[in-house]
Amino acid sequence: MDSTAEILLERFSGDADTDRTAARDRFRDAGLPTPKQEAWKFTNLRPLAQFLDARTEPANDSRPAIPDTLVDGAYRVLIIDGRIDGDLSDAGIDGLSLAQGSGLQADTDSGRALRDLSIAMADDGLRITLDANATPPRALELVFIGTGSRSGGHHFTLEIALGSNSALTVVEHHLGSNAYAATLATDVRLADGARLRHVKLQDESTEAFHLSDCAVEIGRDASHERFVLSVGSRLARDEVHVALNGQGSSVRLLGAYAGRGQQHLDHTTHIDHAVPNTSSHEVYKGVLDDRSRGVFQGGIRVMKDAQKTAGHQLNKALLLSRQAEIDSKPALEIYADDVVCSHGATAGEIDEDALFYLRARGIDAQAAKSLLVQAFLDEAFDGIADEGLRERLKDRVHGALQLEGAAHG
Amino acid sequence: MAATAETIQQVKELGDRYKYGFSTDIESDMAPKGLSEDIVRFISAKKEEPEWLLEWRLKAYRHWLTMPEPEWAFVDFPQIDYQDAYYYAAPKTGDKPKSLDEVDPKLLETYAKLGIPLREQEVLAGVEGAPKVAVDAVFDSVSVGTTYKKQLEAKGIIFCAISEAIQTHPELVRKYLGSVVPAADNKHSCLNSAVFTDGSFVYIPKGVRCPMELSTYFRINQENTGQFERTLIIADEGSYVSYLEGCTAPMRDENQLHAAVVELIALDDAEIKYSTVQNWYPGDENGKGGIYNFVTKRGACRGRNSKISWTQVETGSSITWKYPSCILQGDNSVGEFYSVAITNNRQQADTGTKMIHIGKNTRSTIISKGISAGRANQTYRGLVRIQPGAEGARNYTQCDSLLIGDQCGAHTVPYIEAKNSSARVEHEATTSKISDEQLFYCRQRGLSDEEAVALIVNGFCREVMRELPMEFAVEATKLVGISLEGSVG
Repeated sequence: MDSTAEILLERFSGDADTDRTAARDRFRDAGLPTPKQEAWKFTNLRPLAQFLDARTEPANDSRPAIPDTLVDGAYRVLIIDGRIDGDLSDAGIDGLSLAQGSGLQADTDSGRALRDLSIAMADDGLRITLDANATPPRALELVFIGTGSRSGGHHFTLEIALGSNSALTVVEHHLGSNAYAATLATDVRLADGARLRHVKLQDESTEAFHLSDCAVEIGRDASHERFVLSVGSRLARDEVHVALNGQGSSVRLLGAYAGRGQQHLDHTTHIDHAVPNTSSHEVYKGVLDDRSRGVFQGGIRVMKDAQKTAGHQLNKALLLSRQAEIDSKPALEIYADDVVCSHGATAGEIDEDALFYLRARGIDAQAAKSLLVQAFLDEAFDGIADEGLRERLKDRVHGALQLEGAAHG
Repeated sequence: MAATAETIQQVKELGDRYKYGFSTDIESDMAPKGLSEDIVRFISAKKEEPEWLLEWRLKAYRHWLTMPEPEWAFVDFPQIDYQDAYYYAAPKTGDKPKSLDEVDPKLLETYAKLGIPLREQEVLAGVEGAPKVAVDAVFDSVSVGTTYKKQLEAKGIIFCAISEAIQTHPELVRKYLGSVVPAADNKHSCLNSAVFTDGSFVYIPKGVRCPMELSTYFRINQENTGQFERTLIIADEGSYVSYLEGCTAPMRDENQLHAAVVELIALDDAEIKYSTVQNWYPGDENGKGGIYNFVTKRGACRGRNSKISWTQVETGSSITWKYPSCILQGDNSVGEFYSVAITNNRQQADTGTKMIHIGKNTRSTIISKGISAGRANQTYRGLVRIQPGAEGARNYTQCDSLLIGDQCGAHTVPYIEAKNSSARVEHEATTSKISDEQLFYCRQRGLSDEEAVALIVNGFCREVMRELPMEFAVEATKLVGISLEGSVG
């Protein structure tokens, strides 16, 4: 047994709940992942352990400031240090219902110990269900705020279940101050014909750890579009596992990340094409400055009977500093022959020729660089339908990278 | 589609077509079965090796005992019983043959069947303008003859069996052996270091361009033997050599282990071109028998402007585990990897390359073409690492997979680690089958189904095939033909 695991589980109180107990047992056996495990080859969680230790003293204790909504007029749920703040009175309209509590199943997949940890140790949870055929006009925005005022990290579970032919936009906004560790386990289930747009802004405190594991199951003719922007955290991992279980289903995973200082930003995705006629499309764009490090691990698996699969995956990284690093592992695992799958990965610095072109037209070096970085990242943002949201997110990443022109978008 | 069905059929039949599946009845001198320190000592004594080498072997053997089996590759096979094999088998020829005339005629017959014209070369030598290939033939564990030695010696080139080099040029062997692939590098290379029996040794002196292709043919003949050859090639400053390697084995029901180590060293401005056509017995259509080909190949571009180029055509072996790599240490050095891998029936291949960029302005190119058919599984596994000091490094990787039939698998596992912003790394991979449109296009222009498939597969591999030396390209194209079409060419 791993002693770190034992310490992390000290606060465990879910004895009555079999799923939580199962998750605890598995986490206790597995312990925190180490770089010796293939899935964690590039991300070392050793510095995380002390932040998850419930015996450490909290750093601070104050009521955090609540940010403006990212989407105009969205329903909003506040989650402060892993606990839902206030009641869920907004719910119950437009076919949408919100309930407190966790119903996540313990996962048997190996290498996902953090998911087990989140389920076992969840401080709170939110279940979002949407009736069949419902299409609420307003987005649902979840604001996760970390304050560093609770020791032992905070753990949350989120469940999103969409009825058939329903459609919903969910926005996650993670932010905070001081040092803390936040883990989040999410389950998304889309019934036949359902459509979910999921936008996540990871803007945690740069002293914080953010570890999120999201499992998505997509039914027949259903579609999922996910966008993640990672600018915060000292160390963050955004892990998504998608199962295309129904014919005609599709998924689009888009991501952008901007690393500065000593940030470590990990994006790990896995897409299973389980049945014929499914498609996936994945584009991640990253800009890494200073001594930051980016990690992209992509996996596409096409099962034996999943003929007529289309799967495309792309990770491009721009290194702005000599000390920045990118590690990519875009893997394909294919057991069916009638497929069109591809992946690509590139890493490099700003194109000197493009820079020269702009400077020759009277644009100064700094502005030219900003322009090229913005243009580089733009592709990943194209998938965000809501214009206001798209511009806010772009502003955020430009601000994070201190690009010129960020103030006016 | 009829053509596809036909191709699948032909692919299925390949199991019956392994034309190198004969064995030769030659009396052999063998070590007792099993593996122990005594066997290591026995091999070393048989080879009359110096003390330092025996110590090196024993150290490797002791370390090997402590190493776990590598389990990360996408291959699946029962645990190897290392005690159930012979680690030394040599054709009994009494004293070493002084010339080819003294070699057992049965051996020569074997090589003739393999299409290796050991003798014919002597005739060809007189023909002006005919391409010359110097051949070192390794039969089970022992080198049985090297041709053209005299002519090479005149240029100062050393091309001989490694066991001979240990006697005649111990200083070179001692300096470079294990310097690229350390004994403890991995389980299989460690075993090789302990029990390697023969292989080729090449030294090209400063400024010499080797006037002919150097070639080694490896053949596993004896039952229950493993083959552990060790190849060491050193290209001194400003030299050039092209080296060809071919392998075959008889059809046997049991699995035989082949754990070779190849080390290449290129000094300033030197270039080594290493080409392999690997056609070990792949096992029958049910996956019975066949060679386990667990090979460690690595080249070190030590000098400035040096270049190492690997080209491989992998059609044989029941399991292939092989990653020819380049360590690009010298500034401006170049590494290349061109690979065609064909797996069929129940063959499994996990193969790829590593390009480690250390020096400034180092460049690497990886072109990998995988064709998977039957119930085979194939993986491209590669690493491109740009170290912080590799200013201006450049990598381009392309790996394409072609699937024939719905029972096979093709996988791609690339690792890309960039630690220098001035480096440019590009990776592309695709997986597809022969499309109906492509077939239709060809057929519309009057090609038969069979010709169309042949044309498309040929085109798919072309980028790699054209990298092969002429002598090998013919054989390789034929092999691809046998594997996938029956009438390619």
